[in-house]
Amino acid sequence: MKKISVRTSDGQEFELEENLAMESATIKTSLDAFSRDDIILLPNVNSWEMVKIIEFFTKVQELETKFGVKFMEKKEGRFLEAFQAEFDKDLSDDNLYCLLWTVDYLGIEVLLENLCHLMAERTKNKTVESCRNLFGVQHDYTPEEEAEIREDYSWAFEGPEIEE
Amino acid sequence: MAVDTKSKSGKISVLSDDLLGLILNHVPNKDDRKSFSEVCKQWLRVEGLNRSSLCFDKPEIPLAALTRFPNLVHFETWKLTTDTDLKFIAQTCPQIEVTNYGSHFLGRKGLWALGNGCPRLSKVSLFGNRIGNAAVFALVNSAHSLTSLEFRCNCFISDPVLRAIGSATYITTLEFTSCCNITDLGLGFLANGCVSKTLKRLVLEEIKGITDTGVELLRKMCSLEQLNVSYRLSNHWPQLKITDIGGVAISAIQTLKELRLCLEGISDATIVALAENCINLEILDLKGCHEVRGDGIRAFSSHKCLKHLVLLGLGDFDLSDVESIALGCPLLESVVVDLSLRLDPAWSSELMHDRTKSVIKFSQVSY
Repeated sequence: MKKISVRTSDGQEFELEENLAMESATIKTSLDAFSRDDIILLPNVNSWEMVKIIEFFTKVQELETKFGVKFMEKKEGRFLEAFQAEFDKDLSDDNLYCLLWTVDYLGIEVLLENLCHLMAERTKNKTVESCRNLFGVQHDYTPEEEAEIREDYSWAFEGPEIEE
Repeated sequence: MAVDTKSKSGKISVLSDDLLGLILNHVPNKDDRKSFSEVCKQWLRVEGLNRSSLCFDKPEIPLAALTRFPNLVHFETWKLTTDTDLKFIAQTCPQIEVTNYGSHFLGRKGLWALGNGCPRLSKVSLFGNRIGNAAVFALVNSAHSLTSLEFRCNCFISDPVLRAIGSATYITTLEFTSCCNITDLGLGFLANGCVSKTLKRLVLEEIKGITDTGVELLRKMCSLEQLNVSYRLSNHWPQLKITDIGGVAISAIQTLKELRLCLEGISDATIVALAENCINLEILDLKGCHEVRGDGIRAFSSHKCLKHLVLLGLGDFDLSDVESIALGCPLLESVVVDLSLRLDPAWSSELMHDRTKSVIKFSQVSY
């Protein structure tokens, strides 16, 4: 299997197997545009993030061999719950946020779905202020606007659970 | 693991709307979503865009508030709505697939606008007496993805509507509850129309205008899997004229998986026919069928598919009849009988086989 070389923002180089590299829409686009022998530069990706992504792919391959299900092809993210807890516990809030952004940038669908789930778990039962801190979001409401929103739309959050 | 230079307070601090939406897909709890919407203006916008289900159940909610939720798939409203309102709803939320309207006057123009403006509209429930034939024609003719129609407490619509529905080949679910102007003629339109080939679920509850003549025609429904023909005897309405003639005709529908036949005029003859012919039947609800007795129940004692049996309101049967079902039906999961039997010594659990004990359920009869 051909190996694709990538270089992260801090100068580290990684070798990815071609089929795994192609899971990233961004890398795939670069490969289509340039020769496969060139090193692909990923200035928005840090080395620790790359390590984490490779860890994810390795685990998926392990599970695929064990269960005989092509998780990546079928996009069966839910089966990966088995190791989500493990994947999650090393990541601080900041790290998860950065990883989420990076995986979105790289366009790795299956991993993105998993990370969104992990991120969503961290926002549950949190106050509005904690959510702002978690995501580093600027508070852009005036107190009047905030009160207005709360009052005008409280009905939208009543009643039975939303079915998605 | 060190946090890298690209930190939250650095150049990338804002997640895209799409990414926020993806995260929000995993947040179903309403309180969490409420907090989410109060974080900042972007999040308020994304929460609205991401919302797929909403119910307007208070009169003071302005319809204009819908503009915040353009991607609604499921929308319900109990407010008084006009045709102009419906047009607005269809324009604002073109993705609507499932919708309920109660107690409104809804006319031809409004329902046409709804069907036209929401190409994915597949399930519509209309409650109340103010929706007439013309309006329903407009809906059936404009909503090309329509698969499910429900009418409740409507004495305006009548048999011609069933003729229009009868020629709609895409409808798989039809429910009529307390619609007093539906008669055997209407059932005939359904049975003889192309919908008889596609209909999977049919509910005829409290429809006082139907008799054996109409019910007999239902045997033409060749794909029907769920059928409910129920009528509660009440002092205000005359007794429904459906007997074993209609009941036995229903047993000819071999595709049936679920059958609710809560009718006074049904007796053992129907049940025997059902046991013999409806080999795929999984759920049988005979609540209120006073004339059904032990012999009828026993007819099911070697049925291969039966899972749930409801015998509430029946009088003339005993434990041995239920045991024959429990021991003879391999897939049986529950048999529901009246709560009063629990106190009856003839129904004491010491007299029951273990299998019977595991499936029997005592319940309050609720009419």
